[in-house]
Amino acid sequence: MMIRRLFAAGLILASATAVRAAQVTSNQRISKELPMYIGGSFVLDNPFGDVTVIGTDDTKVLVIAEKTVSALDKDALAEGVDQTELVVAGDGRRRVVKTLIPAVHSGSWTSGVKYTVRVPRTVHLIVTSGVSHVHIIGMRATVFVKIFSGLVTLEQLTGASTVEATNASVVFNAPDRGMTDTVLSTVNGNIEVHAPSGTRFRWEAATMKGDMLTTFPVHGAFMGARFSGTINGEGGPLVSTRSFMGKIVVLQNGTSVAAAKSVRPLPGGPDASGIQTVEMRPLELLSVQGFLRYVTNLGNIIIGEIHGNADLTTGAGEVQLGSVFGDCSVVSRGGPLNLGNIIGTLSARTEAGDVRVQSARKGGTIITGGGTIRVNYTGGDTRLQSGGGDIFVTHADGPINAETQSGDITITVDGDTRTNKITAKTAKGNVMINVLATFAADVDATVITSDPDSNNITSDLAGLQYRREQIGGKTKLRATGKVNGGGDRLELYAEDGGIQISTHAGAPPQ
Amino acid sequence: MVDCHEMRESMPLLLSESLDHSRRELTHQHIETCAECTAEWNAYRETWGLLGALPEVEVPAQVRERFLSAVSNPGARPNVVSFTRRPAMKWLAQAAAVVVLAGGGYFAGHRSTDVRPAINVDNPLVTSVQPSQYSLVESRVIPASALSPDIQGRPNIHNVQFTDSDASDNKIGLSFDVTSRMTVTGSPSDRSMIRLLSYVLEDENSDVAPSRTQAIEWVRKMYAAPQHGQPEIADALAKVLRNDSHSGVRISAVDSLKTLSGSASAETRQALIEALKNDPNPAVRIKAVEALANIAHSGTPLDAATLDTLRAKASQDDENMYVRVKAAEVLSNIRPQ
Repeated sequence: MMIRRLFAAGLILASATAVRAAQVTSNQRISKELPMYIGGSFVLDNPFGDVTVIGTDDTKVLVIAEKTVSALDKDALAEGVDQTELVVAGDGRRRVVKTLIPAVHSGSWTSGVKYTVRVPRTVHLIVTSGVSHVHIIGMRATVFVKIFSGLVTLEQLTGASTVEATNASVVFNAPDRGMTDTVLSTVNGNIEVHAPSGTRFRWEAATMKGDMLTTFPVHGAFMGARFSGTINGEGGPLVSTRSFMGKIVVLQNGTSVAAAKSVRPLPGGPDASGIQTVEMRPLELLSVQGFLRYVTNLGNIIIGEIHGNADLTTGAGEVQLGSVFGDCSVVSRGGPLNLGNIIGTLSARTEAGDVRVQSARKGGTIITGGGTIRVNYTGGDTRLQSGGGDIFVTHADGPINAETQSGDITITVDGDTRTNKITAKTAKGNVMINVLATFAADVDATVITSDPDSNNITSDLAGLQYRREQIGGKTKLRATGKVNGGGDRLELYAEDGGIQISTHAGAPPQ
Repeated sequence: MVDCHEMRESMPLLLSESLDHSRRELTHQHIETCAECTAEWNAYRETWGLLGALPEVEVPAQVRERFLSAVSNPGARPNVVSFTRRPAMKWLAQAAAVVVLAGGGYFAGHRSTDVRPAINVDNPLVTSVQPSQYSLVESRVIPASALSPDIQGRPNIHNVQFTDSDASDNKIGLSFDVTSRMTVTGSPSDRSMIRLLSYVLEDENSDVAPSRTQAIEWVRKMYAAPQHGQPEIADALAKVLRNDSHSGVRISAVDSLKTLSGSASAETRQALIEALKNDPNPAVRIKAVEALANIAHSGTPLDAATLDTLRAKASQDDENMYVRVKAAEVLSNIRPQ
């Protein structure tokens, strides 16, 4: 009911706005009666305007179309009337009714068609719509509805029903008897299912952001994010409900959403050690004193300062931290990480997205499944890994182990660092190392390339020996040796790219 | 005391044979007596030595005709050299191979009509080439009669081949590469400059310093402002997004398309949709969704196929959750037209 009220309010508001803007309006009512086989199919495509389809016991289709055009002046009105066409095609086995409105037209008019269709209840029905309230009642054969935004209401349907909605909500009122398999899906809308209290059916539900609620006694379990349960016993038709960002409610007739309970397990409260654990919502805080643990299945985590250790997890979302004065562990199943000054050891992982770290004072581990990693400063042993993307370290003041599946690696060793263990490997790309002219290292640099003439290892540091060999149709270039008397190992590897060791005068580039 | 800085500024023009006689001699004399400038000059020449690395491309018939027509003009005495290529490819070498600025500095420096680049002293990055337009092509055949007998400067000539394909026609041929560094300057909105940048961006094998990723970022900064938006640049980045095998480069390209989305063409939008559907790197897919969101936000309606793709992504169980959330967010902000 709540969905219907909201939708009605939206329609009234939209209509009022349109009427205020429009100067002239045209209303046309068209009625057509067409023969129809009771086992045929009926297709209705209407980009703008409500659709009501009522199943009957006749052997004909009655289509009543109310075409409304609103325009700023008479000329625009004429254009709108002319360009809003109703097309009837097909035959008694497959009947197609379609509203044609040019995708691009003058902005001085708007139009829509409201359809009321009476169709044999045994025909297969397909309705596609852009923006509307689609209301289908009393059909026995299959029903398929595809809609972008608005509301879909299905009532007393005993054939298999499928709804694919994007921003629309869906209301399904199950028949008293003879409910069959039903698939209701929407991306951003809500889903409401109403059924008689004694109806036996299987219920599957999946939502990322919303909740799953019911007033039925239900037995079931979660498999990942998907709930699977039975109502009034095992077996029965399957009602599949999927709303990615919205809420799913299954209600016994005569009960309300307020009485419905979530099938999700209760979120955890503070544990014995007083650590904060919260689920299901994003977090934005200016400052936190002490240790913070936070887990959310969806949502961004944005915190200015954490005066202690941090342990943060999001199922999907961006993480932004200003300063963390202790150790910092950040995990995202997807989303960029933007981290400021991390005083303690850092562990940052995202399954997808860029990672930017201003300062990792004690180093740590930074991993992305795919994305660019940019670290301005690292003061300790640091491992960087990207499933695909460039890696940049602007000031490396500790050992670095960087690896990417596809991307360039650029590391500038801090100005006063005379030797530093560095490993940089890319499976496709270039490796560029910038060090002091006095930087001491045991260098082992390898390039694998398909270019036999390639000479893709260059070094400003003298003392390297170069070798070239052919391996399996590829050229392997290798440069090894001690530079400036030798020091920590500098191991570089690049496929289908090059290696460049350059020197800087002192303070590294900003 | 000759100013080394001034001499070094002259080096690109020396390479492109665009200096007048007196300055040319002065520069050469200085180079021979100054160790630092000698090193600088050698570095220039070495870089130019890479210029011959050009892809084998047929000279378009129209271009050839226009070019030959231009050099046959009795009012001009152009000195034209042909480029043949070596397999490796280099950034400016390719740039020079494509752009319609042809003939370049070397050619320009030898026309009797003075078409040498005029250096803008207020902004040395801006050089105007007037009045003629030339097509720079990879290889061209020039009749000796159209070539100035006065070979000026000291052009580096490589890969020389003597040919006499038809002993009876009383003609011989001489093919060679002339490697000299070329710097093309102009307004970011200059059509030739846009084409040059597009060409370089699209070529995965171009050797760009310091890296292709950073070159793309440079282009993004240059063209990010709405008044500088150029659909051709966006299309070039779209091609990078479609074709480049280097994840870092694709990430950079799609990141740039996010900021250039206001000038996105249908081709660009299609590249974003394909990236969203098929790119193996989730970061690329995330940024493709964000770029599509920017396009929608800029007022360009997304077509039904795009909406279907976004819906499919939001509903795809095995897709990264953040990609799904972003796709759903884009859809939720779309108001049907």
